[in-house]
Amino acid sequence: MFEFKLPDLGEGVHEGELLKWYVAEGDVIAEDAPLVDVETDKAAVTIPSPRGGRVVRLSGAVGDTLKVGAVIAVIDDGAAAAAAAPAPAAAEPAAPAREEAGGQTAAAEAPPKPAAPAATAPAPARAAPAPVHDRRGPVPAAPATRRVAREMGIDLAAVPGSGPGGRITLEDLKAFAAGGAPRPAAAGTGAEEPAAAPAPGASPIPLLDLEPLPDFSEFGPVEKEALRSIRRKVARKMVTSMVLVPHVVHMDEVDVTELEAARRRENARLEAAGEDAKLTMLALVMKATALCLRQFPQFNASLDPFRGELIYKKYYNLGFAADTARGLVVPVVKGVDRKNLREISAAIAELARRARDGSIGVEDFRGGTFTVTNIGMLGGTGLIPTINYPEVAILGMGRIADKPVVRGGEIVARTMLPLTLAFDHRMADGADAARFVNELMACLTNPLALLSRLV
Amino acid sequence: MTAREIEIGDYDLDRELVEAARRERRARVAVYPYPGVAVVLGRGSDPAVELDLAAVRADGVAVLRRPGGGSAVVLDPGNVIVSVALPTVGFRENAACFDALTRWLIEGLCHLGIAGVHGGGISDLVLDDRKVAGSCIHRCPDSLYYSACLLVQPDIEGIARYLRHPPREPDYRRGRSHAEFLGSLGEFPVGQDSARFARALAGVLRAEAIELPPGARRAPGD
Repeated sequence: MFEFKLPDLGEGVHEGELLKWYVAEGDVIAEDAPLVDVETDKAAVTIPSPRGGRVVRLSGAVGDTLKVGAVIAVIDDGAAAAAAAPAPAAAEPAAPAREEAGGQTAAAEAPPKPAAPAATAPAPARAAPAPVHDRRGPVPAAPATRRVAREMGIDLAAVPGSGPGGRITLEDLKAFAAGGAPRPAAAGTGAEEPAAAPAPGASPIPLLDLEPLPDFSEFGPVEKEALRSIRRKVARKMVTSMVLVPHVVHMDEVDVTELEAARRRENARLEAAGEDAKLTMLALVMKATALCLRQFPQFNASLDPFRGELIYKKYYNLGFAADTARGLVVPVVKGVDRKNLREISAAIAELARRARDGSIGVEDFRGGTFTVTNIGMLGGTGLIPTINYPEVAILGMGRIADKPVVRGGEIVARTMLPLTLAFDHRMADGADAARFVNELMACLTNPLALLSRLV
Repeated sequence: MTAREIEIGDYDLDRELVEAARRERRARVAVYPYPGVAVVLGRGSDPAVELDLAAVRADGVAVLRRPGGGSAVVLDPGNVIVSVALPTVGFRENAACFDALTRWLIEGLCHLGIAGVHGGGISDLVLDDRKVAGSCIHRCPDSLYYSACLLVQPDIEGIARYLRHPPREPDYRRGRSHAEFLGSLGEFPVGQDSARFARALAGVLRAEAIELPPGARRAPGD
């Protein structure tokens, strides 16, 4: 196997963006044929394959950043097969000798160079005699199957294939694995380091079954698009959050009748005064949240699992989810606790505008400590948001609506705002969340309560 | 409106130039005003990020993808393209190649009486703190293709209409809008007409004058 590392692309260039693969896993590539396009600083570079052979693995998807020196492709150039041939591997048809001799016979037969791996490789611990597969040339198996075999430490040459032409299927691998302890692939037979990302079918999480997707075009027309740019970033962030963070969700509904009325009055006054500023409910909620976070630092924090530390932040930078033509982005309003309501409203409006027209900068997304997402503007009675990792909590706002509620035994119409707090259960417990939301609701129900915390 | 709803063609006006340079093993240069209107994406540009797709679609503007890197540009007859195809070896030293070609282009402009242009960012040409040309490279192991777009009589309004603020920008842009950032060579006498400008520039740019870094140069007869 030949591991192709991203070559040095020039002085000071340490990485490049993957633009295009010219081949897929399983394809055969000729030496010097185009393998991959990489872009660095306005220069797109077509890099050829330094070896010919079958492409076993490609590392990275379009849009990924590749580091110089990292293995980007593994090519089966035949060298591994040649080196493995003298070893006692399954390719040898002399089944009886192989069964009883274990490493000894093999070691005796092996030439000096490749002998060591054969002698040190543990013999298969199967009760039944190992099947014999007289294969010459590449073992027929799909790229996904090869990946799974690598992850499971199974030498494909030892697996009987039940598919067309003896092709090895995922089921064959499972059956093989169930028949005994997974057999580590011997060095020199193409054993590779595990891929950076879990391969389909092989997950580091027990019972999590990641099967390759079916070919949907069998059922009807489909259109494919590379997962890239913001969509890719959102996907990565959300998967990280959902896999890493034990989410708990606390829901409530707050009566904002007085606050909403006050907000409307203030906006009418501002308009009459000829001022552009406009107070939004999002700004009010963000302000109230920042003030309450002072009392509940466990929701304005991060948990560092590698250092075993809880990090409490003494600043209150609140992100808000903004829907743009390019997808979801979360600009951050810095120092919400120190800004007045008009400043917060103006900051939200400005950041949202710049997010939509694409002029927003990287700095505008950094440093967030807590996120508020207001899906209510678009509808929906509530939502369960995903924590914007490495933050530990996110507040979701549902649609504000007049609803019948019971007050003093009477059914009255009140303006209600659904709230959902999703939080990291490693950082806080349900009781903490209930107290935090209660405090927040007290601020939003009674404008005076909010005012009293401003001083 | 999504990126899937637009058709993206190849920028192939320089294909023959590149093939000829490969075939003949010598540098080739082409200078021409762009003969139409098109939005041209960089090799890795994401149209959904860099373009106002609704405007592009509404105006029926062609969208092409060039072999070189960088961000999207809008080309029209007010832009003069300088393309160079060179036999080279390897694919390193792109920054040095950019520098060499930028110097070569600036010298050519000096011959036309355009002084004060200097390099900016990775490979821009800058005049009075405004960008007057951008360029890109596509590198293969045996050749280098360089293409610069000179803003002679640029349609700034069109650029602002079709292009969003780019995802990456050189330091000297400092967040400026297209209108604030882009300049023009049209103020010089030779820049009054882009076709005349192209002819004049073609007359002074000599392929032999390009001095690539030693590591990228192909040895004679190689």
